Amino acid sequence: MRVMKSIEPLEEAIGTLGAVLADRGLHYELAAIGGGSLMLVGLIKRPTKDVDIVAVIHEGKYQRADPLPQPLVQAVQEVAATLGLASDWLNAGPTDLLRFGLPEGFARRVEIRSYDGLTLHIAGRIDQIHLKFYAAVDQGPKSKHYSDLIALRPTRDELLASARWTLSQDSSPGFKESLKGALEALGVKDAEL
Amino acid sequence: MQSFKEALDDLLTDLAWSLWTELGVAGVERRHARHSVDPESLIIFTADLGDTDPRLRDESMDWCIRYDSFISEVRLRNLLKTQDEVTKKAFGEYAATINANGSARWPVPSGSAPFSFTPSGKSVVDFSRPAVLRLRMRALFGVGARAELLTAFLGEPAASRSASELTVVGYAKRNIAQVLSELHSAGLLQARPIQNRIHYRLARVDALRALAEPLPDFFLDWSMLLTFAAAARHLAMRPMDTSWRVSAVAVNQLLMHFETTLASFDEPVPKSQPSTRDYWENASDWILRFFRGLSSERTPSSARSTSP
Repeated sequence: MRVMKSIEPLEEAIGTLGAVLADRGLHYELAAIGGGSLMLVGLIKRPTKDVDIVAVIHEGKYQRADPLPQPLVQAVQEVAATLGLASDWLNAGPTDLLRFGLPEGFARRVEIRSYDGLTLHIAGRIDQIHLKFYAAVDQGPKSKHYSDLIALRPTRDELLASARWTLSQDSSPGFKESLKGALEALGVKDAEL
Repeated sequence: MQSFKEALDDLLTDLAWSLWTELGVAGVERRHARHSVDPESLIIFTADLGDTDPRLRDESMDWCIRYDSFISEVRLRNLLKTQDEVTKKAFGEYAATINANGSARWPVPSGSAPFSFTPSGKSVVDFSRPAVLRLRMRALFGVGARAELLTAFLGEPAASRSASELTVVGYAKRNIAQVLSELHSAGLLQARPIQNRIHYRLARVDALRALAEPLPDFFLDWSMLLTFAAAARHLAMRPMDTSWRVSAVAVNQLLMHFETTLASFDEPVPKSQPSTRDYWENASDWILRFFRGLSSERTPSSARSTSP
């Protein structure tokens, strides 16, 4: 299985997927977050092996992406077999984030990229910071999310806004302590949340 | 420079001409004298080639009209089930033309009409050729599963196979099971239960060989190979504006679908690559190399035979 170390393989995979979908008369709009989407818009450069889909967009509405539509899954797997990628290189892993809601205004800030039969709504920078902050708190300071977050160069205000949104996802006392620790590690002391 | 489609069509018409010429069609080059030719698979494939080479089509139909009694309608029907709609449609017109010009009653899908055709009367089978083993077996054992099964056993005399495994010969499992049981009763096959299946192997190899000689050296699975060839043609026939990305994914799926058949040949199929353009170029080159080998004297099987 191949890891995409630069933007070209990722663009190749997504471009191929879009071309295959269009050839089959299909079109999907998907909201993408995470490392792959950050790479697409040039915000990070770390190797990644997947594109994380948080929602399928139908008539402008964000809907759970899990399960992804079968014709899309089929095309994703066929592209994977051709390019030597994992069969779930495009996946609905983070779609649970929809349960408590994405950051307010997420849909207005997306960057839209069209690839024939595929339109990606890529989360804007501030939303990526929110989501990366949540993931970094959840998975600890040694996780890839932490380094992605640093690469996004968030300001103090952005981190505080992210922290407040993150608490809406998980308000347990233990999580709040982890969150404060993460903020301190990122240089935000004495945060009022 | 030839396009992929043009190059592939050239190779595939060459292949079909050589196989038909072995069977007795009025052709020039015979390069498959050491192969067991499969008439029904070749008929379906030639129908698919259609107007690519009208002379090949017409001479093959001349042969079919003259030797229709050696062709199995049941096997044609069964082999057609695994073909795509493009091939089925092409076969319908071909079969309708055969039916209209002789006594054949081949399966014709509704809506298929015959086209104008005059038999050349040039086809003559030389039954002493190794390549026409299947026709000799049909002359000996009748047109049906019995002849096909015994041909398959001659291809791999040491192999032990169940009725399910032998459905690849192109007949229904129930028919095959019955014939296997009868051949066992006659003492021509040995039977051995393995788990819940009965496996059969040839008991009187020398006796059957003596009847069937001269035997070919190669028993390739022409049914699968020519189905692969037709599928590759259909891929090559896609509109010129189809992107290489779509073509790369399609050819990858094609090679994966026929992986088992292609695995019996020595040249490994192309592996996935990070670039669809590179993959498409490698895979399309591989397909041309593969059929160049198959259509030439040099068999790409490198002396390995498969059955049936």
